[in-house]
Amino acid sequence: MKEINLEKMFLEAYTQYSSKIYKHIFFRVNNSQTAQDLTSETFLKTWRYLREGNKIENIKNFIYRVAHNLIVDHYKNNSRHKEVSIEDLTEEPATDSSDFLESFHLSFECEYVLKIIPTLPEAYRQIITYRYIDELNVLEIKKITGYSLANIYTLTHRALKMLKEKIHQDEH
Amino acid sequence: MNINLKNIFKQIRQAPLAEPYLKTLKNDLSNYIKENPPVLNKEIKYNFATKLRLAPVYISIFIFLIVSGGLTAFSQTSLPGDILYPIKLASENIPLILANPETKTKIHLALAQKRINEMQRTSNNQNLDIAFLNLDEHLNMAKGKISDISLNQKLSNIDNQYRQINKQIAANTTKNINPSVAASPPALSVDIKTTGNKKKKESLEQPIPSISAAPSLPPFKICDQKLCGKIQCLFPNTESEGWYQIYEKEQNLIVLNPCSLCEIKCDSINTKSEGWYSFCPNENVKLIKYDLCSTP
Repeated sequence: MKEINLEKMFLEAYTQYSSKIYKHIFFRVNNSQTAQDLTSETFLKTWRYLREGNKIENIKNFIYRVAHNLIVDHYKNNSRHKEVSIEDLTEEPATDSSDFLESFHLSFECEYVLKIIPTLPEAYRQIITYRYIDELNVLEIKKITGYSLANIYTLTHRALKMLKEKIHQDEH
Repeated sequence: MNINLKNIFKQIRQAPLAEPYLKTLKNDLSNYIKENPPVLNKEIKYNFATKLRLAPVYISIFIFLIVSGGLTAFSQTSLPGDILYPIKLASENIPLILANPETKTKIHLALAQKRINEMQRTSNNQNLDIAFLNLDEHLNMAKGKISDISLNQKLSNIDNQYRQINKQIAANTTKNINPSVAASPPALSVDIKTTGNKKKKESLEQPIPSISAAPSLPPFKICDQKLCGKIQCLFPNTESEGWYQIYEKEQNLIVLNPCSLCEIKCDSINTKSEGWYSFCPNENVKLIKYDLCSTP
């Protein structure tokens, strides 16, 4: 009985947050293949944690936290070993984020902004993703990232300012 | 180009990114969950991470064992008055917990002998309180439980040595209190000389340091049956005022204490706490010495 409840709860959480988590990871790593890998890894890790009888107070925060840690690990590994993708080795066309975005038939303006976002520094990209893509409030961001409230407000302000500046520069 | 960021973020949020992939992933996860159901009884896996988490506990226990072991080892050579001496006394009680009654008596005697040896090696008599208490305790525990003759002999030897030490301490205490009095000729021998009884004179002219050193003599010279072995308050209103045990030729200081207004009684008879207790006005009853005082 307990087993079924746990499974049900987990699958409900998956339905509710999988799309958001995927988007979050995608905007952070700017690669659809890596985003898919990290999304599946995030949910697998969460299930492994749950099945061992551990309790989770807030499943949403927990999943975001796992995703955050995986992204950090991903960047750490990338900095140590330069990534060579399978696509490069097999000489098939790479799934570039711009190609990937075009497949979703977004407006021209939207695609334009999404191409600028990856050029921002990682910390700014992260805060914009949390605040405006995932719609998390500052307290939730604080719990996930461990940043102070003042830090989150400052980062948000600077990230938006830089994004606007970049858009403005491109126009000219 | 006029870009409204709010609208753009809204569009991104609503875009169905990777929907087919997420559906496939859901199916894969469902299969994974079926293959890996929840663990009903949480198994504690002592993997490396768990060991690492417990590392501070192990380190603390290790440090505690090293420090306590080191202190106990160092304390074994300590003497009464040393900082480590109480640790030595505490560590000596450990074998007593596991020993059978016969071995316990032997250990008590061995420890009593050890206390005697320590007291003899100690130069400062003022730090002997703990050693005395411990010695008393061991002797009381050993008394009455000895069936072996050789052990009984050992007990009486220790008892004799104990009395000797008591005598020395009493002498030293009174000398320290009033050296001028201690240097004066023994009052007892003068009294005896005036009696003219040669036999008594010969037997009592031997040096009796504790009595000769006393500032004033008690009203008796040789204790009779009534007083022998009993505890009396001697030298009232002097610095030597205290409780002394009276023997035929000497009195042994038990404790220096104002006692002129107090009474001493043999109390708690036929119990483990049987001994001499002082009853002073406006004070609680105080134990002076454990003793089988009810038996003549």
